[in-house]
Amino acid sequence: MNLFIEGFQQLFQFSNFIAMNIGLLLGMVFGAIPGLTVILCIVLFLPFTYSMGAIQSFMFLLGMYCAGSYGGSISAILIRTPGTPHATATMLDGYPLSRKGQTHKALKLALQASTFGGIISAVVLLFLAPQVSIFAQKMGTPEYFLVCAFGLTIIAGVSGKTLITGLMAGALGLFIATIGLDPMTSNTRFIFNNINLYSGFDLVICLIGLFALSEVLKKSEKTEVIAKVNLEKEEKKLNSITKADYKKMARPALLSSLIGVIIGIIPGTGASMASFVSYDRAKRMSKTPEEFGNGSIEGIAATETVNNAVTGATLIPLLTLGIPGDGSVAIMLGALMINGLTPGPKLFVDHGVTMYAIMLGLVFVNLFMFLQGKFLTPLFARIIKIPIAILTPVIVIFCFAGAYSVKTSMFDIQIALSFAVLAYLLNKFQIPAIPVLLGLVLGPITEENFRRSLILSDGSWGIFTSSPISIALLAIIALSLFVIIKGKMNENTTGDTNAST
Amino acid sequence: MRSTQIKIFSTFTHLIQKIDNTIDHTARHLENREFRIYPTIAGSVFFLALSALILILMPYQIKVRADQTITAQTFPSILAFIMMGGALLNLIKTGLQKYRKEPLEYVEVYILTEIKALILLLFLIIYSLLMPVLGFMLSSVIYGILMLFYFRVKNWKYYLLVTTLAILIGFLFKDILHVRLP
Repeated sequence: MNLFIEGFQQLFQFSNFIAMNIGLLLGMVFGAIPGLTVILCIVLFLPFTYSMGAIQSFMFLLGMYCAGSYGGSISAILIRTPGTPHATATMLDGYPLSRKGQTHKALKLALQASTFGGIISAVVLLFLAPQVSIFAQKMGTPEYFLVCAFGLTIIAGVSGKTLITGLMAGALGLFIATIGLDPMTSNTRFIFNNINLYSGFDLVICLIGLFALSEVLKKSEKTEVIAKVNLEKEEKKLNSITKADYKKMARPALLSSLIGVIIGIIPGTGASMASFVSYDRAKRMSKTPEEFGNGSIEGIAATETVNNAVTGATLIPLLTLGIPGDGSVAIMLGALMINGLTPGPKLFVDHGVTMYAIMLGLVFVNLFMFLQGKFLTPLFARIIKIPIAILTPVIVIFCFAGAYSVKTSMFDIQIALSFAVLAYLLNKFQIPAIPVLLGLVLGPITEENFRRSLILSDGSWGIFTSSPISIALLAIIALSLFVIIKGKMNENTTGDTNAST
Repeated sequence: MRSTQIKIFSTFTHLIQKIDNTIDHTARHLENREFRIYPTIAGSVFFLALSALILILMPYQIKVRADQTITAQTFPSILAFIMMGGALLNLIKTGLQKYRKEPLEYVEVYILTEIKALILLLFLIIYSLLMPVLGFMLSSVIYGILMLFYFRVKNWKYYLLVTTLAILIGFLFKDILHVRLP
């Protein structure tokens, strides 16, 4: 209770709310503009957090993260182009509803559903994270390694076309993380006598290359012309949300918030997967499934609730175990470490007040997101028309400044460019980049726990089956692999059936 | 004096027009030229080559004591073997598909698209090379202009806007964030 109250006091500073609202604004802009992603937004503005305190920087980044999740629905509804991948499911019903002259209604639904999902997940985070942290303190090094392996397995399974490509990508990310000085023996690894590589690759530099600069190279592909949007000429009566609409939305919204929380807690998943699971569930449970795909308000409510219900839940494994719930949150790990907050079981013990301030702050992030969305959506509808010819060089200039600012070194810019080329090639080979990111983020703790476990057991692999928690984790990994492989095989069978008909 | 200025300006616009026409002609020539790649095979070969290279270089790049079982080489070796194993599995799977005469997934790669990507990469490299020589702001302005030229933008307001934004970003990092830029 004391931590709760002190956290509240720490949160209620003007600078935190300013940072929060600037983050929300940036997140909505980046989420709304197709071609710009939440990850890109967080990567570009992460260097700005170096001069901020822990709570302020987290409010800034959480603002971007939550608003970006909602922002993707704006272009999905207006121009049938999702601003973020997890708004694809919103587009299925948001755009048809807009075509019926109910654009305002669709946007209002999306905003309200997002806020609802976000607040539910913030409350779950507030009450569940401290309990998970207590449980996590019982974990030893072998258990910790297995949790990392679980996270990597899941993300490998859901990201790529096949589990094998995902695993190879994850292994690549883990390998890149080993370059530099070995923290346990101080041996140099793959530095090729280059002193700039002693401390390995900085995560922010890798991210700038993998997710920001690589997007610039993809601008070589043909892009569609963005259609014009006109919000002014719609009937007010048609665009109000009635009591009957709220009654219809209630069940899918509640169910979706539960789905979002569960999927968000599992390391390595994320909103994209959650949105389609939730959409599918809502359609199966609806009394009017024929409306789905034709402007169903249940469809919009389900997808937008789940998108933001994931946000708080993904922070649970991040804060308690140091394992990010998705790619965007993986970058926030960097922000935590910069402020001297090492994620893991001890975080709530050593920095309890800061953690409560951050978790309470997430509730306010969602409230302010609602207010900004309510008044600023017409502005964002105009922003999506900014030409790519202006956006692209501005993003690159930001990237170069951000990359240089890490260690004031041109070498970092060269590294970022190399990662951009790597990401471009991986894209051509249809190998996903998210497992590479997770490998980069989890690499150090995965290796440390792996090697410590083997050293403790004198090289015996039996240590990974020596405790009930380890055995349970191994069973979960095996079950997940089975479900993923079965899912992929079913996909292939459906594809073959479709092809033969 | 004025007629000289007009002459220089018209020569410059004529040169830009000539470059534009050459680009258009080359693009028309290359427009539908494409080749196929099989992403599973190409990706697997990439990972096979990379993992083999890692394993070959490992003894030279990571020095360890012979009497230790768990060393600085342990984890990277396991990862290299995972990549190699995955690549081989993919290649075997593809081989079996080919043997069963099943269609293999392929991707059409357009030569024009790849040339454009190379040009964009070249601009990024030029930008990174100019930065330590000309400083952040000037090199950013040059890069911005190159990119607008790449996108075939003719509206002078866009050039002014990008130039202004480049300078503003420089001021933002230097004076507000106190980052020492080149």
